Amino acid sequence: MQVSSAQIFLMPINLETTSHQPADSELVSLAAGGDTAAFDELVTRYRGKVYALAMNMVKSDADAWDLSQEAFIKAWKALPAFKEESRFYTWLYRITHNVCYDWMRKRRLRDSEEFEEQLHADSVAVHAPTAPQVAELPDRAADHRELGAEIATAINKLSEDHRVVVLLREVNGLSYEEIAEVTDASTGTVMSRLFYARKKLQSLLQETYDSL
Amino acid sequence: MTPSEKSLLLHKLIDGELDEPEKVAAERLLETDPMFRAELESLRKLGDEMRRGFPADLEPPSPDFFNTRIRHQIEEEQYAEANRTNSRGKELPEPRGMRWFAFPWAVAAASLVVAVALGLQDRDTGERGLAWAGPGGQTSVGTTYTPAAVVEADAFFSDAAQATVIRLTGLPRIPSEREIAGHSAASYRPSHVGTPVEIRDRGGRISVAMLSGVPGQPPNFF
Repeated sequence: MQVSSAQIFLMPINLETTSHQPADSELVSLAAGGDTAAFDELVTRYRGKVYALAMNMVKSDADAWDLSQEAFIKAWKALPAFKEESRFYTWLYRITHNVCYDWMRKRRLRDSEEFEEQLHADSVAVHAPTAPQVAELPDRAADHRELGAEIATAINKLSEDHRVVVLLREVNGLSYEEIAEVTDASTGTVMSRLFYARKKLQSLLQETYDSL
Repeated sequence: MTPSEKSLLLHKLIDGELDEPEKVAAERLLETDPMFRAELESLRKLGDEMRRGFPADLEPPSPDFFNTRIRHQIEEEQYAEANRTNSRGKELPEPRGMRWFAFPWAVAAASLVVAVALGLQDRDTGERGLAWAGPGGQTSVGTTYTPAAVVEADAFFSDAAQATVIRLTGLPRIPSEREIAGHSAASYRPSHVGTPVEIRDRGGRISVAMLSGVPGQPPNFF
């Protein structure tokens, strides 16, 4: 077995572990110069936020794990081009958003192709009845009365663009300007998406609110 | 003020994006317009519920391995870059890490820390993705990696165990007091004398077995 891999793997992080917490900008500057220990510290600092954002977007822990990894690798490669006028986390969110967005687009495309293939494979009569609507089981319906579950369901009914904007605002607390940077949209577009998303959520949740 | 202007004001108020004249207008509406107050309350409630249901910060599974894998990928990138720019044309030793997919494992064995990464590839599609090893040879092991010089790791799909097996040669035994974390693993059974560690998937099937092995001897599961 080659020992060199082991030595690289076990290389200690050279950052000082005193009370001094280096600022993002300091770590970014070191990492952009090739300091992997500084980048490792940035990963530790932001992995929870990046993973949560990916989870909220793709709704699968395994995919979110992979996509978060991809986001950090892309960030590492792009660090030399990082501009100081952006905040690091906003920039990292943007990369994460793009990685997840691309993944969802590809998955949608793949699903649609599979659906097409299935349509051609199974010939269905033009006037064949559609699948009957099955009423929810009583215990499941009861579970869904939980407001949290209702909100999750309602949010999942929003388009990807609307969902990400409302989550970035309400959950991550980003400003309009920051959301615009992350999603590569204008501030006006962010405001209108946010407005629409909230209205839609209120409408979807009206019944739940009334029943509480 | 038109209804749409009111709505815009309301959303900017709740998002903390009002300028000074807008703040004055919003305060006036809050004092005089019960509908405006009710709408503000409704939106605040919605935001509170969203923050309760969707985390802003969530530690990924196997967080240490999360960092390790990124470091390793960066090293591979650097290696590839160095290979491209090596003006002397001298071949660099190939790293033994993951190539295109890693399956996060962190194995802590007494004072010795061993990490094993598995690449699992669907033979039919070759696509990247998290794939449990399954029966029928659906998956194959890509590469393995161990940081400890005294331990050799190899991995293979065993028809006898109907699982992917990680064999750690050079490790006398896998300590039962140490839990081995598996990504998306549904259950875990520690190793006892003569038995492998078992990781089971949600269907209760063994997806990965881990055992300490002896060089030159076949694995003994049961």
